[in-house]
Amino acid sequence: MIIGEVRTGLLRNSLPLPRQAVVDLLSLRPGRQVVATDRPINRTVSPDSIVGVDCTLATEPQAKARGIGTVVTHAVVVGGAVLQSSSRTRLEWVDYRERKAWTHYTHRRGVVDVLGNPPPVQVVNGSKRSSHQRDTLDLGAMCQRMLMLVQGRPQLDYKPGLRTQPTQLRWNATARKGARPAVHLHIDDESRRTVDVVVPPELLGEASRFCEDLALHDWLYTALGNVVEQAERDMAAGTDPMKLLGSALTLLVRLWMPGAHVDSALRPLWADLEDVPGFSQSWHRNVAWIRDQISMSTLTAWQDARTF
Amino acid sequence: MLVFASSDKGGTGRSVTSCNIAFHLAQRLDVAYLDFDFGSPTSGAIFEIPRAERGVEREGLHTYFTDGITDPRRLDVWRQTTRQDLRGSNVRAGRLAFFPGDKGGAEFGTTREIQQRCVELFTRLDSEFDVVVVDLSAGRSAALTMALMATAQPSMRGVTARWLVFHRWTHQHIVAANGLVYGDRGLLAVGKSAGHDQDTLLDAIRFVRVAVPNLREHNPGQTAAQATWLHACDEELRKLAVDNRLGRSRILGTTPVEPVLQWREQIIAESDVSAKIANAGTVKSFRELSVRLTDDAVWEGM
Repeated sequence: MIIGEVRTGLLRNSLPLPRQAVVDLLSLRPGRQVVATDRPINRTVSPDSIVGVDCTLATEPQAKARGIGTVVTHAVVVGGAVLQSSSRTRLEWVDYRERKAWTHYTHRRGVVDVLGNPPPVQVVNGSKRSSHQRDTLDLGAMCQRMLMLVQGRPQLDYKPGLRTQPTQLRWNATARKGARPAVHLHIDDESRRTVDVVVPPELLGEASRFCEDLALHDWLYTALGNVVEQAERDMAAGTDPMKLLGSALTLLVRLWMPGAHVDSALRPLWADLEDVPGFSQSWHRNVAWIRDQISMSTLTAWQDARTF
Repeated sequence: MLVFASSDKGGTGRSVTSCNIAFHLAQRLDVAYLDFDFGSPTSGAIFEIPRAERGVEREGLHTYFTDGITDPRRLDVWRQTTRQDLRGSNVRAGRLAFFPGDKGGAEFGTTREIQQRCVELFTRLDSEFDVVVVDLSAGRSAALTMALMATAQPSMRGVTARWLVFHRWTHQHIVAANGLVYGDRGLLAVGKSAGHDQDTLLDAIRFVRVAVPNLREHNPGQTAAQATWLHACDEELRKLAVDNRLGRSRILGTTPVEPVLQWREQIIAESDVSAKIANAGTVKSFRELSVRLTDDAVWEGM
């Protein structure tokens, strides 16, 4: 089983960064390679940052659970505009009771040994809980640290082109032999989501990429929805929303490509999400609405200019 | 945009006025309100959120700075307030997120690490909210120093910061407000040593005169001698304010004496005015403050 968290938000930069600037931005460790893919859209991934942990694992209902091992975190920039940070670790149930030498853990990157034999379902439920407990594994904190590290880098001009609310998506992926891949997305509140994924064991490694893609599109969807709401509020108050709508078009719209960076075996999961709740349809409706507003405003301006 | 609310003395109405400004801003924008009054976090009571009346039990801003948590508690005022008339009073309102302090917290010293956390919090919230109101503890507090140091950092250069200094309309308060801005270890001096350009910083400071009596209103209980005396006092204070560089061009606005606020620190909503409990002039003054706060023309350099 793997548990993880992805935090998604806009880079603090007024315009999307060009490819090479993104590579510089994510070169967080000297000598370690940044991986960039250009098609169908630029997606750049920072080197992994590995953190050693020996702490309590959150469980629900409460059980005794200790985790020792390492957590992997990396940052992803999509289209030079959206920043994600993603932490994950594979949980392996073990029957020893005392911590072993660190070399036992350090050569298995991104694996946490689970001591105390808690029922897996209780560990999964615990990982979804949002409140922070002392000395308890907190993937969100590792994500946030990575986000802040990148957002403070000198390659940025620190002027976000659009004000948007970041989202947090907690996920868990369970391997089940012969299972058909399945996903369940739960919207907890305006910024928090939880995702349960079931995959056959050979696809477990691909789950993290899928969840990052899901988090990206869920964030885009939420951000554009908020832009439409803000524009309606501006229009009701007699304020011109064109700058806001223009920024949303420039920064967000071309990034919508569900499943583009996902392993083909997991792409059917996107088809399920397109059925319920149906992402793309409402996304395109919102985009069309924004374009309509801009066209109408252009038309009005043109007519005004003519009568003048 | 970051807005820092400061005052030299306690009891100036800084918190209650900034809560009301935040309330009005949130009618059209996404607003965050941060309780940086670490010794006495009481803004929860003004928003009437019972579980945060004197700060929250854990994960408040105090814990964020001193204990290494990454996500301080945030409360949605529209959902958490027990005041029915604030909820849903405007279907198109923006977000109003309240970041409470911790119950039983205290002021703390500023280390390099705490400084960094402060920068991270400000930049993070500035990317998310249109306006972030930071209510600082009174006087030359550690919170004020921390805010001045954080806003001078290179990674904050794209962020607009505005500073409000609240004072009452009395001799002592005017002199004290002058000291807080222009005096030794005042805003400008500390700001300069933190790396701010003094002139730019001064252009980002405005004063708010709180609870100023309205002498033009007819008061039947007043004798002619009293009225004359009050007018003379008012005139004297005006001169004093100008001499202390708190004159007209440096003020953002004035709020009138409001009987409701003398009894109870709270949000003054339209419903309080229509119930004839609060004065219409009070709501008007809060609204004007919120408009001028975000009006760039008001903040152009002098």
